[in-house]
Amino acid sequence: MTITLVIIFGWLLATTIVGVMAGRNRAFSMEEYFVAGRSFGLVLFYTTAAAEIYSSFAFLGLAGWAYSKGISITYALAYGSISYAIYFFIGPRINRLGKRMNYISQPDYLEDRYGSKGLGILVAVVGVVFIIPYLQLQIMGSGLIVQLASGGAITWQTAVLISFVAAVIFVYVSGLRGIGWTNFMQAIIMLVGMGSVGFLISNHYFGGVGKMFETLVQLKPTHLTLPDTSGNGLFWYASTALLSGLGFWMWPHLFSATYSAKSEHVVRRNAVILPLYQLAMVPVVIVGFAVAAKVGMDPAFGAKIAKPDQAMFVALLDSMPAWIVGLLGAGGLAASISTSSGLILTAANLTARNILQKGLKQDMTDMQVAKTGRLLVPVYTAVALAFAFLAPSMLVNLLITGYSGITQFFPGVVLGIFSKKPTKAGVIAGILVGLAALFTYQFGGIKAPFGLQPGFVGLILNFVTVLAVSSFTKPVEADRLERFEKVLSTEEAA
Amino acid sequence: MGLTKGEKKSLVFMLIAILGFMPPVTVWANRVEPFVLGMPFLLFWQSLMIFGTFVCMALAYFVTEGADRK
Repeated sequence: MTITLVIIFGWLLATTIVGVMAGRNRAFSMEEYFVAGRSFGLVLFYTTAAAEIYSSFAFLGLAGWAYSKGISITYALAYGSISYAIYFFIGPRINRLGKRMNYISQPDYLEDRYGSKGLGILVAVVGVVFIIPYLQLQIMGSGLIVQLASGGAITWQTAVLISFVAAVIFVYVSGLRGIGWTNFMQAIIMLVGMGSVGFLISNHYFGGVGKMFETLVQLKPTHLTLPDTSGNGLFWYASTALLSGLGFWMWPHLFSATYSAKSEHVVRRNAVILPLYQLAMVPVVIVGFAVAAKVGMDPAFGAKIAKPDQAMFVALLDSMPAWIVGLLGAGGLAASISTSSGLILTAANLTARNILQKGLKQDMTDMQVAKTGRLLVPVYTAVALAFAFLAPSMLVNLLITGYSGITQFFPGVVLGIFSKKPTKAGVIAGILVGLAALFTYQFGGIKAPFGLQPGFVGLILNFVTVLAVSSFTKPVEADRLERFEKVLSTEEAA
Repeated sequence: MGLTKGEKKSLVFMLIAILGFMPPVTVWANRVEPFVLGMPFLLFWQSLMIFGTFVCMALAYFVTEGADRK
């Protein structure tokens, strides 16, 4: 076995052990398993969130897009920042509601807020439907990273099987607490990898980042301003960044991760420091540009890159010693596993809690929900693995479709926090209209107006529908509103 | 429901963080020259705005805490 593989799988083994150990001596319960007993402090919540947020896309997709299309990839820099600015206001309230009302999932909140079991089930089902492709994407990303880093010595299928047996073990045993502690390690190695890679490769080929960009501006000037080589312009950039920024915290796994923070103050302080983690994405974008410049000078090098997502690792193998490739491989695998483990647990949570206990099988106790959820961890992993092996496809497009779908929860969630007007019927109609618009554009072959993201049009129609339908349907009961008013207007003591 | 007094004052920082990435600011920033820290200007501007988001949210934090904890 090569040094590269020893480092990657050594790291995987170490995180698995930490993940399993994290759950020792903890009494098993629904709250402990799905939201780590609402116990994460500033640092643990920071690394848990960062590692769940930054996925294999932060290694493969970011560099691949910058390499093949150009600077329109920076929508990904913009939307993270936008989402943290919004999180400052909504995050603490989501955490507070979770604590006072004992929520463990995203539909728990929506169901209770609007007094509708149907809404809860709808949101849970839609959540699972969008989690599976996202999980599949992460699985394929992890396999690709290990296959590339090993120079093809190990196939992506083998790499995926090893990695996801490990992930299932620690998620099954320790739930979110296991994810929290593994993510602490994953966030650090991701930061090391992402932070260093841009400078390493630029220095090797060009003697510095500045010289690399001077070369690129001569060879591929369209890569560096909008519209870039792909034709994506400022309007596309702004609408995609805004859409993804709004949708960001609507992802069910990030929403319920917010419940795991010890207090709303931990959440608010994290809204301040999470943007700093974003800075690690800049060097990865720079790698993509460095490879584009390298290929511009040496077209034969381009022939080695079969797909854009391979750009970073092809350049690493060409220019760096095995141990650095190993560290980057471990970082990329960490990015993928940390996001996947959150997705797996959340799909299990949504199913056991909201589709079963609050839907099909209402006599379930909380302990049965925890046990059923735990059983679903390997089941959902197997489903996503089956999709990955049988229906592989390109990384970024799937992510954008998922984002557009998840963002349709935004009006119901945010209006529910700040306004008494929206009704049960309004929120349900809004989500359905938003999703219908999205699917019509995405799969009906119709172009959205002004080159906007289909999901963005869906979101606007969604908002309009919520407001319109709410104006003539039955308002939320007064005692329910009063209960929420009371919690939302009394901040937790520091 | 609704924002606290301090949060209302802090909304301006959220707007700065978001608008820094949006047109018309990015129409102005959408250029290669001048290079800063070796980066073409648009990429530099976006990196600066990421750091700027941190600064904005830190200011928002202190303004909110200051106004709501008197």
